[in-house]
Order: sequence, then C-alpha cells, then structure tokens
Amino acid sequence: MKQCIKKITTFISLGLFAFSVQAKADDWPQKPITTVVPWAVGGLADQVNRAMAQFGADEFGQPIIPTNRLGAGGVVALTEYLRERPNTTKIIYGSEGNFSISPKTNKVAYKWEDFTPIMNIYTSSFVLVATPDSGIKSFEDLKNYGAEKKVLFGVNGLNGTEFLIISALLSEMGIDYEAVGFNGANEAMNATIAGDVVLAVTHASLAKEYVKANKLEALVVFDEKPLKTDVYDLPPVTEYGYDTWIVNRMMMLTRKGTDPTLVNSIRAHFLNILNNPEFIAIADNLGVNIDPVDGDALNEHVMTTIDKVERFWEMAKK
Amino acid sequence: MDNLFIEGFIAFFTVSSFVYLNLGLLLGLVFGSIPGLTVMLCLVLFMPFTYTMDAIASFMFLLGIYCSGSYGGSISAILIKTPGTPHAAATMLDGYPLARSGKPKKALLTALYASGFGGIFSALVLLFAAPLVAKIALNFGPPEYFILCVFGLLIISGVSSGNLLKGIIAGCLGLLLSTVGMDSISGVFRFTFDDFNLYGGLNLVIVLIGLFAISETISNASKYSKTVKYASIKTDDNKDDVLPLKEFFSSYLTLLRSSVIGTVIGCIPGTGASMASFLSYDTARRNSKNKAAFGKGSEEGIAAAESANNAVTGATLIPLLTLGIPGDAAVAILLGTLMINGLTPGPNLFQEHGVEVYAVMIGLIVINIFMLIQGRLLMPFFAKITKVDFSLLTPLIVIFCFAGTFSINNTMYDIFVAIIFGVVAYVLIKLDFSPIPILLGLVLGNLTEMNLRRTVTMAQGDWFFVLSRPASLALIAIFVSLLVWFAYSRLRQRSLASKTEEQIA
Amino acid sequence: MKMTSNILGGLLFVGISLFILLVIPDQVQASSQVGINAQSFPRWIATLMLVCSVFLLVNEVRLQRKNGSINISAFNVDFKKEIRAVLFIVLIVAYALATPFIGFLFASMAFSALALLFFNITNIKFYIFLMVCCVVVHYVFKFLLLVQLP
Repeated sequence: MKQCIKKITTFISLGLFAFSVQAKADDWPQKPITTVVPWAVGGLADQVNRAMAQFGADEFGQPIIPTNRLGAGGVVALTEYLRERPNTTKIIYGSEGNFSISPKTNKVAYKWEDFTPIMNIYTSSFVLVATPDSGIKSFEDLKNYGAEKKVLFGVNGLNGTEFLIISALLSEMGIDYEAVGFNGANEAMNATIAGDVVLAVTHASLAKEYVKANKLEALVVFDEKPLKTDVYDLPPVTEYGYDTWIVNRMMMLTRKGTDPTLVNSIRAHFLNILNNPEFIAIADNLGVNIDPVDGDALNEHVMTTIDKVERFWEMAKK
Repeated sequence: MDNLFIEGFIAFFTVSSFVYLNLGLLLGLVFGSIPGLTVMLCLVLFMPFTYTMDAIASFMFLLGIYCSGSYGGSISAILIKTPGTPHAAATMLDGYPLARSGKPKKALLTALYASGFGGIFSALVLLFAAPLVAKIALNFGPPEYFILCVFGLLIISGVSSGNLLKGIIAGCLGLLLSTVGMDSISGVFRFTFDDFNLYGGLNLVIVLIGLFAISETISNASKYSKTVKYASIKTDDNKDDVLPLKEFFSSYLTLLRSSVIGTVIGCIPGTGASMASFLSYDTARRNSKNKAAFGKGSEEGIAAAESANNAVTGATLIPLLTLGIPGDAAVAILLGTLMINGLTPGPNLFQEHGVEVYAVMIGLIVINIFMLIQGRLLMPFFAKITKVDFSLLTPLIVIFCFAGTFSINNTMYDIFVAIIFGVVAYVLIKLDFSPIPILLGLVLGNLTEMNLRRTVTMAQGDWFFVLSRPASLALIAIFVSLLVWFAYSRLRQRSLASKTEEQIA
Repeated sequence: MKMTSNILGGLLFVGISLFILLVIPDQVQASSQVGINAQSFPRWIATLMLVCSVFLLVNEVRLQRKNGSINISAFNVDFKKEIRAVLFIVLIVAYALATPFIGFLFASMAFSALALLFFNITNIKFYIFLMVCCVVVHYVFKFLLLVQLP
C-alpha cells in the first residue's frame, strides 16, 4: 500500500513538473528574476549586473533584483545554487576559474555539468604590468631582468587564474620567482604602483588609467591576439612562443535541465538589454568589453580552460 | 587651482545638489541607526537611482548616505546599547552609560557634533592636502600595515575592563574567528568543517548583530520586570541633559587628535573606521586627565570615537580621488558611480575632470554641515526611543536584526550564525568577558595575518628588510615613542598618587 | 576553592584552545609555501589563548589559596533569571526555524505576540502596535529594499 501511494505521488508530481515546464516556457518568469553576483559589491561584474537589472521590468514584465552572495571567490554562491530547480527565476554568474581552479585547491560540491550556460556578458584579458622603478619596459627587459634577479610579483590570491598564468609563463621563461598573494586584483596592482612588488597581473580595464599616467608599464597581454586600444598597444604572449594565457569571462548560468527554449528566450531578452543604447553608454564608461557569445562557446571555453589549468598547474609547480 | 576651486564651487552650488545631499543624509541616518540595516545595503539599493542623475548630484547623494550612515550607527549604540555599525561599538563604551545616567540627549549631541567636527576636518584635508597625503598613503605596504595592526591589537589592553588576561583571551577568540573561511593568500579553506556556508568566512556585520544586539535582547529578557523601561534609562526630562557648545569644545585637543587619527587611518586603504575609532578612543583615554570616567559615560570618549570615525569618511576619498583606490567596500560603490558617469578614477582624474573633483570636495564640507543640521533637528525624535516600552522594543530589535541579517546574503543560515553569537556573547558576558576585544580581533585579524605573511614572503629571509623601509621605520619610531610616553605618564601619575597618599597620612 | 567566573572562563577557554589546536591539521591544509603558511597564524593564536587561560586559572587558584576564599564571591547563577534567558533564546530560535515555513511576516507576528506574552503584557494596544510594525517591516524590506524575505 505504502509503495503504491509513493508511486502515485511520484507520478502526480512528475506530471505537475512536466506541466510546469510547459507553462514556464511560455510565461516565464512568474515572479521577479533574481540575479546573483558571487563577487564583491561594487566590483565590475556587480556594476554591470546592476546596470542590466534596470531594464528588467521593460524586458521581462517582471523586475530583475540584483543580489550578491559572496564567499570564496564564487564557490559559496555556486554551491548554494545547486538547491535551485530547473527553470528557476534565479540566475547566477560564474567564471571559468570557478570550474577549473577552485576544484583543484579545495573540495567543491558543484561541477560545470550542474549548470546550463545562457550566454556570456563580458570578456576581459589579463595584462602583465611592471613597476616603473624596475626599469622593465618591455617583454625583452623582463627576460634580461629575470636572468639576473629573482622576480617578486603580486597577484590576487595564490590559487587564482592570475597566479597560474604568470607563474606558468615565468617557469617557461626559466625565471626564478616568488609570489605575494593579495586580496583582490586592486591590492596587487597598488603594491606594484608603490614598488613593493615588481610585477602584477591585472585586468586591462583596471590598469588602464595607471598605464596612461606612466605609473605602471604594461608589458604583454595574456591572450592570443594583441590588445590595441587608445592606451594599450600590447603583443600577446603567443607572439613570444608561450601559450600561457586564459581570458576571463562573466558567464550567465542557470540550473541544468532548464528547458532549452526557455534558455534561448532568456538569452534573447538579455541580448535586447545589452543592445539598449542606455546600457551601452554605461558599459562604455565602465570600460567593459561586452561579448555576448552563446552557451556552446562557453562550454568550449570552460573545457579548454580546464585543460589549460591542468597543464599550467604542473608548469607552475616547478 | 583657484580657477578650478571657483568653477567647482559653481558646479556644486545647484538646487539638485542640495536636494540630493539632504535626501542621502536622511537615508543614511535611518540605515545607519537601525541595527541590521547597513550603509552598504543603502548604497547598493539606491545606486541605480543615480544612473539618471549627473555626476555631481549622484555623488552628493551617495556621499550623504555614507557620511550620515557613519554617524547614524552611534544613535542605536547610545540609546539601546546596540551599535548600528561596527565602529560605533567604540562610541557605545561611553555613550550608553551616559545615556543611562539620564543624559541621552547630551550623549547624542556629543556624538553628532564630534562626527561633524571630524567630517569637516577630513573634508578640509581632502580639499587642501589630498595629493600630499596620497603620496604618504601609497608608501604603506604590507610591513607597515602589519606594524599598524600590531599597534591596533594593543588597544585590547585598554578595552578589556579590568582583567587583561580575559581581554587577551577574548581578542584571541576574535582573531581565530577571523581565520574561518577561505585563506585569501593560499586559497585553502580553514575551519569550515565541510560546510559551504563557512567557505566565505564570518561576515563582520552578522557577528556584530549577534555579539551586541541579540545578546542584549537576551540579557534584557532575563532582567525584565514590569517596572523597568528599556535598558533602564531614566526617562524623566533631565535639566542637565543639554550640551552647551562651550562644554563640547572644551575637549578640543581630543577632537583634534582624534580627527587626525581618523584622517590618517582613513587615507590608508583597507584599514577602516573601526580601527580608527578604537585607536582614537584608546589614545584619548590614555591622555585624558579624567581617565577614571572612561567607560562610565565620558563625553571625551564619545567625542574621540565619533570624530575619528567620521574623519575617515573624507579621508577615504583621498586615495579614491587621487589614485582610484577604494579604501573600503562602501567607497568601492562610490568608485563605480564615478565610472558610470564617465569619471574614471585614477591618477588622471584631477587633470581630466578637475571641476567635478573640486565640486565633490567642496560638497563634502557642505554635507557635513547639513548632517549637523539634520541630526540636530531629528535628535528629539531619537531621544524618544528611550521612552518606548521595553517589551515593545525587544521584539522589534530582534525582527529588524532578522530582516537585516537576511538581507546581507539572502540566506537563513546567517540568522542562525547571529543567534549563536548572541548566545555565546551572553554567556561570555556572564563570565566577565567583554565582547569588544572579540570584535577588535575579528576586525584586525585578517589584515594582521595576511600582511605578516606578505611581509615574510617579501623579506625573503632578510630580517633587515623591514628596517630598510623608511615608512616602517617612521611608524615604529612613532609607536615606540608613544608607548614610552604612556609608560612615563602612568609612572608619574602613580608617584603623584603615592605622594598625595603620604601627605594625607 | 570557589567556582569564580575566572575559573569557569579559564576552563572554558583551555577547552576551546585545545580543541582548535587539535583540529588544525585536519581543518587547515598546509600550503607548501616557505615560511609562514595557512596553519601558522591560527596555531600561534590558539597557543596564546591556551597560555593565557592557564595563567588565568593558576592566578585565580593562587589568589584563593593566599587570601582564603571568603572574600571572593563565587559565580552564582540566578536560576529565575537564567530560565527567562533560556526561554527567550528558545523563542528566538523557534522564530528562525518557523520563518522558512510560514514566511517572515507571519513568523514575526507570532514571535511578537509570544514575546509580549513572555513579558506578561495584557494591554491589547501593544499587540496591535507590534502587528502593524511587522507588516510595515515586511513591506519595506520586500518592496522598497527588494530583500527577498522567505
């Protein structure tokens, strides 16, 4: 008897579930959409998310409520997100590091396969900067400097993307190094400006004003294509024969199992927001490179990054 | 410079500036004074409204929130022994006893005037000496942070009320609590017991709510009897409950010293208002002629803590406007607002947007003046809180704490964290441990440890490394001379005391 | 020998610091860095805490031996007070536990009513006032502050 009841309830709930999927694809969202930024309040991703949320009511007929869930560089928020059901109105952001580097240092409960990527919001490349006191002005100068001295560099934590790409690069170049871990890319950059460390890896947008004011020397960009803007004219590391690069993406994710038509519809709505002239003006001022590639591209991005992290990890160990 | 100054003044002097700065001040006061609501929440919540404003108006609005939020925390600290912000815990040490002795208005006014004094002082420093101060601040590397932290931890001896050993133990507890979560240098998890909610560490505001607000409601519930009003403040109107300006300015030395401390700490990114207010409180206590009054309702104590933490508000804008470095999380939001308005912070800001920068700096002085006016006007309403019945206030505080705690991370887990800390604090207070050193340890723990580790990595085994840095040497010299001075003055007082005893005998 | 707050506090923190020292190897992975690693700082602080707690105990015992324990007041527990405290804690915990199930608004209302009962309040105005407050707080948080309360 008990089993029978159990079977019936499972059946009914399955039926209800199927029905709700059907209904949701048509008139999602039934309640306000919550977007979760797992990084600092006031940071670049948070700013972009809050700017996008402005247009939520016009686009979805429901407001977008921007929230932050901090902790361990995104691990807390992504773990908590596992509680969400498919077709949830909660949307989360993640970066490739959350799925490639975080699992290497600690046990994490989630994996990339638990999420369905909706789209990418922005892409950012890391640049290598040096303090002007060191006299390092180019990649060649760095080689010469490193041949004689141990290089002290500052990065955002000793388990982040920044640490991995620079230590892999320096190892490949045969340069002896020591890393100083800071709390955030900002702190690491400040230490370089003050001359406490010689090198730092930071976001191109973050370092821009300092490079312009000659407080920092930009040497190279961690990418496969050169970085050419009004301030930068940097060769990629690949030009020197190194493949130690990872680009950073702000990926919009939902829970695995969400209806594909719904994913497409959410993406279409957010694309409209990204193309809104008011939003474009804000994004320009923030200096972000809006790059709305789709979920397939993100799948590939994360997979190649996981491979790279595996390789760079071994290189950095030396 | 003169031209920019005048142009900046003209750019600031618009109706919208005045409207928005007052609106911001009011919001900040409300959010700062209600335990559970934070200035951060207020800033992120109202930030989107600034998208449609121009740069100066939006900055006035957010700065208004920032400044009065910093003062607002003292209101609940004074009236209901629950600091609305972490740095108001220092204000509470004397503000609450003074209010309890029947002078809530005097305590509130001292805090308000001192906040205004500190705020205007640092706004003037920002206006006239920002580039110079910024240069000094940039010399602060890991070794200097570490030295500063060690000095900050010495404050524990000053706030451990009686038993130094117990103060140190409580401080250690705070330091250990600060290590919970991901180690920001190596990335490993510490003391998380495989609970992902702890990966990010303990949130300072949530622990604060537990340590002070929840524990206070429990203690009140245990003491309740029908005749007692909330926190047993005498409610009959006291004629002495006024603060003549002359009396306020009689402690001008303390005010100046505290404002300098607040400005110096504030312009060093990442240190924060809590460190400033405690450091200044401790310095004031050590230098005071009336040391015994501290902790029992000394106006000097309130003035020291409040002028220092509001001096931080102007000073944190120094690294922001000159170097583009946000000193704390609230200022990071201001940085975002600058960027959205096309004023990219950094070393080029003064050259490219001089007028706007001057408008902001002049505006900050005006904001502080209006904060004094608003605070003065609203003070009678706040003072009425002491007349609200205890049985109404206690559940209300719990409800606000719940909603406020939830708002930080949108999770019920944090509410349980707050309750646990409330119970722990209640037990520890019963055993004569003060929660203040726990708070200090928690505030300084991460900064101390990380900078020690960075220093060791940077030194590369060279023990003279720290001494080779001029900034470190200067700091060590200042602190050693201060310690010698404190020891000397204590000895002198002791010998004076023994002399008078002899004479009496 | 009297159970003073120093003895109880000392014992409590000897226990806590020993516990922390014990779990450090398990709870904190030592990073392979040279010099100070992630374990060092917690270990030093826990050791300092242990030393201070032992000192606190030894000092207290010595003082009691020397001066006799007549003048020292033992840590006394006013049971009537403590039961009220425990009851109130239970009330707060129940409030937190009920919130996810019945929602913040109703949980708060129930909590306020129970708290007023706890304080022996019979005046109906008090109840009405707090109910109104609950509704206001709920709406302010949910619709003005956009906090997604349960």
